[in-house]
Amino acid sequence: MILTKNRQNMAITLLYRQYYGVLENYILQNSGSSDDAADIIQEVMLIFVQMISEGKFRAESSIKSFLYSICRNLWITELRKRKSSAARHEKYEESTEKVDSDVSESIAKTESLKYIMGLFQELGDKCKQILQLFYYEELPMKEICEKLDFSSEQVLRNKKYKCLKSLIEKTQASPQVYQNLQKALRHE
Amino acid sequence: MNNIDLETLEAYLDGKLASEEKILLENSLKEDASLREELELLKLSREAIAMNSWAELISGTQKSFLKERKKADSKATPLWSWARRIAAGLSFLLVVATVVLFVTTSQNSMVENFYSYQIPVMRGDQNTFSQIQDAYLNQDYELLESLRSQVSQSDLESQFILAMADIENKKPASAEIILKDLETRNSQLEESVFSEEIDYYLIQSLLQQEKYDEAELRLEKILQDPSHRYFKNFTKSDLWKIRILKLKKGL
Repeated sequence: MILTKNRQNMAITLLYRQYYGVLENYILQNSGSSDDAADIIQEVMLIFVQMISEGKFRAESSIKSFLYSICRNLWITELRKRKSSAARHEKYEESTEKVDSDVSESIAKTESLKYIMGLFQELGDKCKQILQLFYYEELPMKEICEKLDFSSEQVLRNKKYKCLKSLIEKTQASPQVYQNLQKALRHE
Repeated sequence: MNNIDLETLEAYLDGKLASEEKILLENSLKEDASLREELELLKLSREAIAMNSWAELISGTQKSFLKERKKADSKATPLWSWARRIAAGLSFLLVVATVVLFVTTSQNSMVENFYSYQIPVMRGDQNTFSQIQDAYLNQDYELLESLRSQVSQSDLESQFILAMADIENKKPASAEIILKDLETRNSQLEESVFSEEIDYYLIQSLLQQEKYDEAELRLEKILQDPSHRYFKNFTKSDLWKIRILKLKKGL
């Protein structure tokens, strides 16, 4: 259901209504604040969507346990970053060994995606509109052409090409994304 | 970028390349690491564009969700809050009741609630009344006054009738003296002539004179004795009324 465009909003709302409390409770019970919970849960949802789009959400596991697993991994990573205490570090050491490899891969990939998303935000408004309508809304070129008042589909196609190229060039220049990319390619 | 352009890589990702072109590209990908990188970057960038919209949708949903939850939390009234409201309501009623009692309680309202003494009358012809009793029955208070000097101190019943006449004629001080004298005699003689009536009418005469402390003590005495004839004539609220009268007198 989550990939059906016209029902995305409803699906995300349902996920929040059903699981926000459980996930928030986990963060609160593990030295986090409600603000920490809000930040982490937002990322959990994004990773969940990404895993569904990649077909990594296994039907045999419940949504709740899946979201919980992502949340736990993200929070452990966050606590490690904070390095607030050695004891806490030791406490979560054991838990990290049990991390689902799909989940940890998706978390790592989301880091790269988030970086590219930041670069995407640096593009001009027109570029962002074209790329969003094409890759997210999945609208045909003809419709985007009418919607954004382009004189012809070819003009739009050229513009889209330039925009996408610009984003890729920005991404290529990023050492962080490049390193992750190398790792991913080595594991292929 | 190498000689394979972005559009071709996109067409490959979308499965739109003709089979010959696809084979050629896949061969190039096997040999060319930089091409593999470019393809991977393209994939990532396309994903990132889509994810950016998802992130906006998620962020907006989360904001609305937290806002709604905050609103719902502030609307929800916990049980203790209801208990507090009930307690506050009861306190308010208590305050109102106290104010009403304070305003409506007066010396007159209390005194008027006392019954006038009635001489017991038997049916038939056996009733023989003394002159004093007869005058009291006929409410002939002038005659009673004229007879007062002739009444012997030892005639306890007649003395009691004179005290009752004093109460009726708004002479509470005189009634108090007679009733207290009768009380003393009763205790000396170890008798109990009109002893319960004395308790009752002493309270009335004391209230008439605004002697509230003593009236309170005498009322407490009656309320502590359920066998007292006048026990049922009073309640604890009468005790509160006397206390209010004391308070009002002090203001």
